[in-house]
Amino acid sequence: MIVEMKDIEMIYETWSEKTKVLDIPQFDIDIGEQIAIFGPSGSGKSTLLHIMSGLLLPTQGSVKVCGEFVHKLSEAQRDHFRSRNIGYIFQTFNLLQGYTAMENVLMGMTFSPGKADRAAAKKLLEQVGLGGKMKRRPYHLSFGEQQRVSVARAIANKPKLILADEPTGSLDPHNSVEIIKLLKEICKEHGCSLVIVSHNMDMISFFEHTVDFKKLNRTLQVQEALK
Amino acid sequence: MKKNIFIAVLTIVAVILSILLVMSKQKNQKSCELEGKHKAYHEGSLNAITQCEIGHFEVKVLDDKLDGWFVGGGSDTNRAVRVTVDKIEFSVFLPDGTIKEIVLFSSPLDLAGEKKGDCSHFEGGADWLKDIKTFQAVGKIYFKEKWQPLIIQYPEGYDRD
Amino acid sequence: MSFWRIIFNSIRQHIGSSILAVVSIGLGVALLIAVFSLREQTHKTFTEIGTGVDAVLGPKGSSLQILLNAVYHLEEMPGKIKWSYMKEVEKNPIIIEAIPFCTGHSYAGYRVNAIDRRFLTDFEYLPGHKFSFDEKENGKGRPFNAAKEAVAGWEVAKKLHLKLGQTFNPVCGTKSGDPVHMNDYIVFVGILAPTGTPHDRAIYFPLTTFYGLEGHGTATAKMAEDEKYREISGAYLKIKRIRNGAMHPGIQDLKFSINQSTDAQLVVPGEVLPRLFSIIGWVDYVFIAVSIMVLVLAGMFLFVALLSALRQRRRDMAIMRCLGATRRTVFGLVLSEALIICLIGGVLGLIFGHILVGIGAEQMKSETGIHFSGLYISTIDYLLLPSLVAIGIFTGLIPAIQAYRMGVLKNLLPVS
Repeated sequence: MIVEMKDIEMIYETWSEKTKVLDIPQFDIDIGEQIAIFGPSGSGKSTLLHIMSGLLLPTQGSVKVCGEFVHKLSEAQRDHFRSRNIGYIFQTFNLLQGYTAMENVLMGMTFSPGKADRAAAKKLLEQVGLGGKMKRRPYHLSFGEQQRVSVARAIANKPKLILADEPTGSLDPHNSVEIIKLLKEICKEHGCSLVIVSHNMDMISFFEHTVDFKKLNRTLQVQEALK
Repeated sequence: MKKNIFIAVLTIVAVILSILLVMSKQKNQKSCELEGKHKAYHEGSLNAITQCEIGHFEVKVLDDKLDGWFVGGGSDTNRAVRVTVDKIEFSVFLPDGTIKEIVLFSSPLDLAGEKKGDCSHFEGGADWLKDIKTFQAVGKIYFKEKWQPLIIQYPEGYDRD
Repeated sequence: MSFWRIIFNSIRQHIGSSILAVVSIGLGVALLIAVFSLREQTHKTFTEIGTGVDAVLGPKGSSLQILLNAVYHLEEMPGKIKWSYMKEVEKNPIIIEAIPFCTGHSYAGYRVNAIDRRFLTDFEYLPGHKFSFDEKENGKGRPFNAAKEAVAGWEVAKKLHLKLGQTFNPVCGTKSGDPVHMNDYIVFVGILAPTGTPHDRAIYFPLTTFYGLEGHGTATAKMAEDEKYREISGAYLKIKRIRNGAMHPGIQDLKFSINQSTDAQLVVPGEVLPRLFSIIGWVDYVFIAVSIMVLVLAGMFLFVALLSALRQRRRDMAIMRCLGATRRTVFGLVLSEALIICLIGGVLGLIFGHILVGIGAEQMKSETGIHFSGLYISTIDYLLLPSLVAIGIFTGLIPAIQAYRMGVLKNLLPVS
């Protein structure tokens, strides 16, 4: 398994209240699997990805990703873990605006072991169809092109797992389809698992293995029942 | 954020104040003069003639010889003041209670254009001077148009104020 | 992508404030370099470089002025003394030798001093070192023997491209154009080997020549023949030494006696110069304080610029954290950025400061006669690098700590 999660609970605390966002008894992903999680906005799908990547620690539960118990690692260890094993794609692309497309891809390699490889970065950009736009900065690229750069960056550090949080959320239907196809193709080619979260059922339909987040997250079931 | 800026500004101010403090500790070579301690030019002892502001008689004893210079009052101890007498007689009171007499004769500074009867430098000698480290002496001198008592306290100097 | 590339990219992203920070740090550093360089070179000129003059017998007036004129060939002598008085002083048992001189003339901006020939043959400008005309030591010719002969210091000869046999007209005072001596031709018969002292910067000719110059008139000419009437500007005194090479303690009594006279005074260089520096010392410190203030202000500007830039770069930092950068890494990036800006500003300031001194050196030499070099390495040059590192750390620390403490998820905001 590439991901093994058990008894995951995520509770946010404020001054006045505690809010349980996640309550997942079990969630596993196979190596090489491409899985789409669908559910309503604000249901905690992004939180799940953050926990998987080590950006967040669950309030309780066990998170084993790429063979490491992420919840037991220190923050610096989780940062290193993420640089070696995880590729992240965001809805809002989150590219570095002051850097060119090439530099953004290189940034994806910078914090992982080994030197940043310009040739590999160039090849990735060509693979995503941006061979002629390597020196452009994000504000000179369309949204679709920016997301392609984001994809290239995510794969640059040769991760074992790619997490895509609403990757088509800012794109038109045509670009959305292109991005999903690109993602699936690249992940298959590079042998990495893919977890994609979305509320767009058209995009979800591209995946064989889908997960209804409402069934996965007991908190949502409780909320439904209360309604 | 505001706390961090406040700490930074405090630190910068502290650094600047430290620099200014170090600079202000530079000692002036003449500080002893500024504090009111008059410097004896020949490194003898300064004895005020009645009062410090009127004038001084600087006395220096080396072996059996005694030199004396009449110099200015206050801090003007580098300036020679000429007197008209040719000799000065002193009664010297020694620590063991004995009283000796010594006469200083004028020894004009030629390069200053002095001569006998118009002279600031006096000298004398006695064998017993070799053996004493401290003494008091009394004489008189015609100084600034009147006779004034001339009191010597050696080596600490004399100033009734 | 390398760590340094990220830093330079960040500097480029807020290039305006980065350049301003570099310029302001550079200015502060240049100011400090110039002040320290000038200060140390001035101090060195007047205190460390030996001149061989134990004491100067001169007229009543400013002792500093006498010293500057007699030893450093600056200023003007405040009066004259009688030859006979000098002879009286010379009889004092602690005096080895008295070398009389007359100042008051110049040629092409360099002082022309009339002096006794013993100056060129007997005088030691440094212990054990007498003037030389030896070609192996870059000297030429010989001391003057006849009335209308002169020798030039090494620096004078070099700057004016003097040759033996060349003639010149001295002028009264320091400004050129005075026609009084236009018929007085004096020939260069010797060039002194370099000594590294102010004596390199003067021209010397016989005392008798001074009195006999056509433009001086009969009253002065009479001084050449009759000592009773003769006057001089002053005399260099060589004093006996005691154990450890210290000056004979009798100098103090001698000074006291002479200073009480109405016509002359004795000036001891070693006593006057420290007083000069203690007087102008505070001016020094004011300049240094101003320079430091400029540098501190530049540091504060950099601090504010970094804080402001960090606010704009929160998202970038969060993205880098997402990609695997640790808290320490982002801390290091911000701190290194501050250090690099300081170092660039510092290096530019160092170069500019030395250029400033170099450009000013020529002007200052013509105004004061003091020689400065733009290549002089002062104390602050050695302290510069550690100081800049300290300033960089100091200004970058708080922004770096803020970057360290920054949360990742809350700073991953949408682009628009």
